[in-house]
Amino acid sequence: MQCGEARKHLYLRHKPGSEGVAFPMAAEAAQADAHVENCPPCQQFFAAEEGLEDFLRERAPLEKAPASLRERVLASIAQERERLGNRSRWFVFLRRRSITLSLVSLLIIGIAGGLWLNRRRAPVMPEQLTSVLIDDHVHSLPTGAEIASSNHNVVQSWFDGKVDFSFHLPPTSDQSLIGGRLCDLRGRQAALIFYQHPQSRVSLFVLDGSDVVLPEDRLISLDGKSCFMGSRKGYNAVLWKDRGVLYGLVSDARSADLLQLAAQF
Amino acid sequence: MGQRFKVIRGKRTAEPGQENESLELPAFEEALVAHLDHLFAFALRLVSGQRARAEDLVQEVCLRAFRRYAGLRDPEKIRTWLFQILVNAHINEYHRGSHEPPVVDVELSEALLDRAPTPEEDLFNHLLDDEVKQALDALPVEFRTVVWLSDVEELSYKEIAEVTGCPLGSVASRLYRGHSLLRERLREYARRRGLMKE
Repeated sequence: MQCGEARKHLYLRHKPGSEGVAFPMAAEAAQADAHVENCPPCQQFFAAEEGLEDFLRERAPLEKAPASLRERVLASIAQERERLGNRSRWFVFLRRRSITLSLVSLLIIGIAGGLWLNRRRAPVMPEQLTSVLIDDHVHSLPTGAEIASSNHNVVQSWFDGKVDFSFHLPPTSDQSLIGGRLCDLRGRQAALIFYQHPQSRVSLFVLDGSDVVLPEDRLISLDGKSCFMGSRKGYNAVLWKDRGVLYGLVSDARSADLLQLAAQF
Repeated sequence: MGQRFKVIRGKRTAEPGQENESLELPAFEEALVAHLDHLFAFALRLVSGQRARAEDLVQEVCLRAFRRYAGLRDPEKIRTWLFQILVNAHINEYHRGSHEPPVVDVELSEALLDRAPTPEEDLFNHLLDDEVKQALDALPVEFRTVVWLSDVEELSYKEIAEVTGCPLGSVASRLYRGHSLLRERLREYARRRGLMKE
């Protein structure tokens, strides 16, 4: 085994928590260890790396947060707590009131409930949604991305505070993520995330799925996810729900390929 | 793994956003204050020593963390989680204001590792604190992040991968390339001060 190869094996292992890195076979790892044990230049290589690490641990500038920052941070959190606390106290106040207030509360709830029932949207069927998503996919260009990045954390963070639901964007190992933007699906707010695979463009729509009904008898089980598959105009869509959030993957890729992609989410 | 500081685990009986009378319990603030110095020191390096920007960044991160605290599954991992929020907040800000192309990751190859550096920490120990700071700040931010989290904060590859959203192989590669660049810059300072021959 040559120096470069032995160093590569050991560099990936020289720190804890490296599980998941493509490790050599046990025999190769043993060869790498044996090589370094008998190779002064390799020993010097690792001594230099460790020396620099020790140097930084000792000499890196660990400047303390100024007291004014500590105060600013605690004040801003206190302000946020105050906002939440006011809401809390309002509920306590209502709980402790007499029957009169309870009746008033009931009345308010009744009115609110009536308004809610009146405004409640009819359940959305997956066929309708599939058509809307496919239409949007056909007319959306990744060049219109408002956040362009292949880093899933960056893209997910960009949506923080911009959409009324929280969702999880998994990491992609193949750099296929392009970016994303907000979109309006006939009055319904959604996050739209773009991926580019070698053969096809893929759109991931994420939206509040509380009123979307996926019929159980038509769902396909995919790695613990229950998915609905639909198609239109030569495009395929896979829909699934997770904690009230609806995810819709759309592409002109074959349905089997799209299902395979959906399994990664 | 370094255990230089521990998470203070308060009795968290209320989550932000929940209507609960025990919202006064400052478990979150206790945990945050325990990590504030480390958060600030890392933020300072991310913004190349600009104190006002670092303070604004840390304040923003703390508020974001408070709003998302309910989503933190394992309070033991609050340090990694805070660093992750910090890196994301910085990337968002950085992407808005920077025209620099991002660093291209390369595999940790045998050719890359072929050159053997010499241990020079004795020599580097004669450098001034400001020179060490400047050498660190001159690294591309992607390398600076990994070097700081690995060598100063002593996070594992796996934790750094979580913070940066990079694959483990890229973390190892960035660490090595960051070390190589940093060594060159430290040598340059040593030469300028006559500690080392040209």
